[in-house]
Amino acid sequence: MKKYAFNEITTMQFIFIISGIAISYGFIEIPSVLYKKAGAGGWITLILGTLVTMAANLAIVQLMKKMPDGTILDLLAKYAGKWTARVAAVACTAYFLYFAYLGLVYSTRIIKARVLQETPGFLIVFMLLVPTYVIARSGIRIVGRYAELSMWLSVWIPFIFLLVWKHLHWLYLLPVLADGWRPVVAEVPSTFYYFLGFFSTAFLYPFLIKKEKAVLGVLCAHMITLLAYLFITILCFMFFSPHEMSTVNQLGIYMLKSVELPFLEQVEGLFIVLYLFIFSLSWIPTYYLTAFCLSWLTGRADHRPLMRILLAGTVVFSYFYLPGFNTVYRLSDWQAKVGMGFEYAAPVVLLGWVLLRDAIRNRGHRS
Amino acid sequence: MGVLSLFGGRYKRGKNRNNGHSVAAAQADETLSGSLESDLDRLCELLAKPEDMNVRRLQIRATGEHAALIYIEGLVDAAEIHTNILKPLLLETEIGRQSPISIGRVEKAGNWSDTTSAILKGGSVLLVDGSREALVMGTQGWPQRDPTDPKMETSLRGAQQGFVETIQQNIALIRRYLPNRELTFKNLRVGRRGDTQVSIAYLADVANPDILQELTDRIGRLDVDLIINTGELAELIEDNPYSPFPQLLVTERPDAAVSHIAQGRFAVLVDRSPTVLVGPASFVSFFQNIDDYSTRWSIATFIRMLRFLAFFISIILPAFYIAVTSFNFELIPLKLLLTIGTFRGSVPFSPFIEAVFMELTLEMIREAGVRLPAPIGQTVGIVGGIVIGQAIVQAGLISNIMVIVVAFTAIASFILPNLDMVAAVRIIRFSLMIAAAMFGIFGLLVGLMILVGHMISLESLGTPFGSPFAPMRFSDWRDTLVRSPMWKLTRRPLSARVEQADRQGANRPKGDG
Repeated sequence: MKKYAFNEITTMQFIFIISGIAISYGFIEIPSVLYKKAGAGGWITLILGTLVTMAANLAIVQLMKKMPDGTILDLLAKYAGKWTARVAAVACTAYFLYFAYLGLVYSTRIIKARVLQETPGFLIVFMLLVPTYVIARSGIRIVGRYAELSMWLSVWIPFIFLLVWKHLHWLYLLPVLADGWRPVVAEVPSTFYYFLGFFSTAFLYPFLIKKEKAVLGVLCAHMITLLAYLFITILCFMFFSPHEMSTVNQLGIYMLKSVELPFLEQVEGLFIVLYLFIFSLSWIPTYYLTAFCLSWLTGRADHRPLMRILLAGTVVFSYFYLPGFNTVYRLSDWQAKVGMGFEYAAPVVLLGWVLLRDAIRNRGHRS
Repeated sequence: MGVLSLFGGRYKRGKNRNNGHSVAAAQADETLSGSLESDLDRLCELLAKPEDMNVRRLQIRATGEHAALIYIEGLVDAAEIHTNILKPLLLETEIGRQSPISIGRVEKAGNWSDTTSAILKGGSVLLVDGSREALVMGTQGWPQRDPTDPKMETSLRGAQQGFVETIQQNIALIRRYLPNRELTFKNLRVGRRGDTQVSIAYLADVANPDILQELTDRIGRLDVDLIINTGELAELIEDNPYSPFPQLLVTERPDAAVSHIAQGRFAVLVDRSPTVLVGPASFVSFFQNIDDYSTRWSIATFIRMLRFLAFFISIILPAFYIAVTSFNFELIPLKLLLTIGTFRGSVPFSPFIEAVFMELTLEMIREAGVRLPAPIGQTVGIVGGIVIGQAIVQAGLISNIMVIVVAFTAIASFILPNLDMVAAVRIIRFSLMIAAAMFGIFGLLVGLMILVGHMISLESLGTPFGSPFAPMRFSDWRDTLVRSPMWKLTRRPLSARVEQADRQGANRPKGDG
């Protein structure tokens, strides 16, 4: 039985959805976080964080192999009963909605702070949700194509950052381990937040055409994320002096202020707007997954009415309240904690339980 | 033995969709009576005896039977009727085993609906006294145009023949290029009153049967009065009629149509229409031109890229101007900003009003140029040029920069090879201008995101419209932004979902060999 036959994604789309969700605003935030927590050796922390994330994500893939034609909710329904799966669906809905909303609000705040100071926030939210609806209503296949295209449309980003080349100071990278290995290793969990979103694997897996390439896809996805993060982190470490590192907000954007192009006065203004293609990956797939979980919960085949309600609800809510930057950071701290349990711990526990259960059952059959 | 008994086949009836729609149709299955006089009366009653219908009574010399030949004058080839029907019937004294009528296509019809429809389509009908069947002869000969040079899709090196208004001729034009057993024409009929013949041309061993089924279903489902032009059919069968993008190619060049058929796509020919639909189309196919393949690949590649650049310029340039002058001054270099300021200073309108006004003027000039006869058409250009170029700037109503922007956009949209895509560009341009006027550069980008999102979710006959960019298919890139050398184009595009991907062998051996 193939439940999702007409909605398939290629391996490349699978890769780009996973790394797109992760990169989106991590790219802007991660250098200063790493510096504050782990010092100049922060990039080592990043590599360690990636390895852990890869392992956690592979656990999800192993888990999903037990149910190649269904999502994690179908798997739970099979192994733990319908009601457990429903509870999980509610949890997933809430988690993805929170994820999407946070990404959306973060992007709105950046736009509002740097491009459109006078425009009311909810209008920006509305504008951002129109393309979201156009893309997410047509299913995971289109979301996949969008992720793929957005990433390819953004290959210019590293090149524009390399224009700061003459302002770099290699000495800032040293000493690598000023306080020894302890902070570098101890702060690995603080990078996890910027890899969150790979839980989507549990929903993308049944749609994947070539399931045997899932492992490779997951590794590639985190490799891309790692390369993007390493690139911006090391660049920021070399660009900003240790003092600036801890005072400037959104280092990546600030760094572009030093870029001068003959035909463009303020590179960072255009950058933020064009970067929306990547930003949008933090909320378009997640809004889709929210609607997907909801439609699974309600037993509807069509996710579009739910999508409309969700998006309209977000706009109306934003009319009354739009979190400020500081609230966003507080909310994301909270998300980091929940996400660590949700994406790193839960799948591993679940995998252990499923394997154990199967083992016991098999022994029962044999004897 | 009568004349009629020598012919075996019966007149083939098209799918009868007339049920209950006209008086004549009410007696669709009414058969002929066999008496010449009453049959003629009945025929005149059914067709309301039009002035141009000719009823020629005669006595067949060989058998002595009384008969009548009926046809409509403008629709038949009179010379053929005289020499091949009337002459043998009146002059031949004996009938052997062969009929004296020397016409290629002769069939029998037993009921009135077939008989009348044959007459109305340019056939001649012979009624013989005592026979309950009529003889239908293919004597079609309405005024026809020769296949002349295509008007809209001109080509520097391509063939000088375009499609004409008769489907048989168009089929012949396609067959000339592809004398292959696998070239198949699937015939359908569309329209209650028009009863238009529609043929789907494809390579049976290459084209995807699912797409054929889909296409046949969509055309077969149509319930319309008549189809005048391929454009109508395209709008009725395309996947998303609300999209600004055309989802099926329309071409008037047989060589272009054949080139698509050879790549595994489908061509839909519509009788009485000098254009052919091609599908499934993708976004890039609207940027390809038959000349790309007859010029050297390097220049063809350059022109391809130029077209894509022109596409983006013509959709975003006015919107970018609005965004920069009314919201995001910080984006452009200071010197340029000062220059713009000097010219904008005296203009009383906001950039948006300015841009909309100028773009609308341009659209009007363009539309006027299309419809007016050529001698007057030139005057439009002159008047438009003077009004736009000089007077309006001197009067201080519009800034110089705006005129440059409009002229630039116009030129950019002129180099797009496909008219439907240019129409899409015009619509998109105005929407982006509105978005930019409301939210500046952010609005412009959100507009582009919507456009991208729409484009990647669009399908043409169930095939992704955005291919090979979304979904990304690198093997198809050989004939998109670049036009690879001919010997590299060894495979048919994935976007056509073909059964046989190999198009040609290695025409250029590698290495020293």
